[in-house]
Amino acid sequence: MSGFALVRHALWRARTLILVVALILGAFQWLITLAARTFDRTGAFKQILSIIPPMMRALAGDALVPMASFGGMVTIGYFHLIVQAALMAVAIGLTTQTASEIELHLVDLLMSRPVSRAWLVGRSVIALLVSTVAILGVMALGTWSGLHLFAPEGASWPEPRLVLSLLINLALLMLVWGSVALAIATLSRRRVTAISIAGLAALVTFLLDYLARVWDPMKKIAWISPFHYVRQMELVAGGTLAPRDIAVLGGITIAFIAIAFVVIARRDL
Amino acid sequence: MQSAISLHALTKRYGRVEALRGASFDVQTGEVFGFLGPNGAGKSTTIRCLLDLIRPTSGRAEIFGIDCRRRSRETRARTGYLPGELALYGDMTGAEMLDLLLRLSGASNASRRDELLDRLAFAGSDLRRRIREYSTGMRRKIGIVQAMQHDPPLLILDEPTEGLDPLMQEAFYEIVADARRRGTTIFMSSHILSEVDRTCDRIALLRKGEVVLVAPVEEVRKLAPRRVRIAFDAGVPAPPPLPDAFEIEEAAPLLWRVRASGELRELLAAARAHPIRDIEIDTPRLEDVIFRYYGGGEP
Repeated sequence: MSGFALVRHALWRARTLILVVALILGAFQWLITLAARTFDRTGAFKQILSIIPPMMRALAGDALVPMASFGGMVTIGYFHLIVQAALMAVAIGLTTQTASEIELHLVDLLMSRPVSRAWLVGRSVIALLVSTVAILGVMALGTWSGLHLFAPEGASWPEPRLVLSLLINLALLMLVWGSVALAIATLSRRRVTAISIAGLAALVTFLLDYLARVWDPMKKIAWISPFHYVRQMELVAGGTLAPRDIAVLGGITIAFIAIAFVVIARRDL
Repeated sequence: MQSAISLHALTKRYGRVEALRGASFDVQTGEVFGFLGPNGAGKSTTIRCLLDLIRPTSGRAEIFGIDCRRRSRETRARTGYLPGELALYGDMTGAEMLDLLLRLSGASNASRRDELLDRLAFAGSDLRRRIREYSTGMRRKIGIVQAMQHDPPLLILDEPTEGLDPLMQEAFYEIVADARRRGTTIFMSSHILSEVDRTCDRIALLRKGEVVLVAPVEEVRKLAPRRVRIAFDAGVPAPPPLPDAFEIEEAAPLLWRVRASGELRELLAAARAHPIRDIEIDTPRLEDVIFRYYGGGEP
């Protein structure tokens, strides 16, 4: 089927971005494991816990104690803000390709072929899924190999269930923001517009969720933020993935992908 | 014979702007059809409607009798397209670009690629270079090859020779002539009227979104006034009053210069009474008619 040529092409074009980000984040897992080993050997975790003021402890919640351990520190690579931002940037970058092709008139050549317009969205979704699996897979591989290579004897490793839950959280975050950006891209004539709107939406909803965690008046509207359903700290503190959170994030993803399919089928290219 | 392209009252509005107003005409299978009009006349809008890149506000377009909107994949499968604003992926090589577009065409082999590259003097080594390193002319050649490499029965070419040097323009005209001989229908938008004059069987002229003329090139040329110069051996009086089809530009004793629309019978009859030394009749040019239309008038 000729549409698969578009999928192959999208992946081929994204290969460098996916590879570089995967390697950087995979290497980060090694480095964070090495850092955790140093902390563990020097007894730094106990010192950190003893000097943190009560107010900071209250803000950090139940996750603080588990975090101040070898196994807890290793998981930082799955929820650090920069890691999340990098993954969302990859997702937004990949799924706004269509806006770029419309802007540069590349779509004229592609869509003058007997290819359904749905493939413009379909190939972006496939590229998003592949990049999500590839990058998170390399990160998990980085953690697994890092633990085998650098974990100090006797140190407790993070539970595989916890790592898997954090990976699922990250995957859902990528899929949500990738699908939001995809829907915006199908409505846009310029890629920079699509990236800006998706990026701003991510920033605003992140800040909204952050405020809601520390300021009661914002809690009423926190539900509109996708970040409200991403609760890594609760997972680190021993919680489990809530099916409702997965359903909401999955629902957002499916809804925006559906919007993208409808829009691309109707719009002028 | 089935029409290769049929437009039925095709209209496209962008808000208050009417880019195309009820355009209707047919392109017969196997002909080379020129699509002319000044900038902004609606040529690209028409072409993009044919390819289902944009949707008409009303009316419809058909390719080989198939609706371009409802069954667009079928119509696009029969079409090779060279866009006016040709955009290519700069980070791909020429060969990769051609392969991608071939796969998207659903064709298994590029039956004519090598021949076309050869005729357009495009070296195999250049195909392995990144497109961002290509000159404008090389990009245009890739554009021509991608449109024709799978040998579609209909070619839609938007300003096909833009950026080609005269030698390559000549090669292109020969490629078009060959395609026509094989029965390919060619729908060609161009600003180069000499190119249209040379390659096209019929033309449609678009002005402000409206089709104002559809006619064979030969007939359009006949609409053009011819310049006639009649030189005499001895001084002669001014010509007698002639019908409206004749406009006397100069009536000197030894030379009459007349612009004539239509047949020359009356003019030649008037001149025959005098000692004629020489008669020059300029070949009617397509431009003379087209420019009048562009200007808003009629010939």
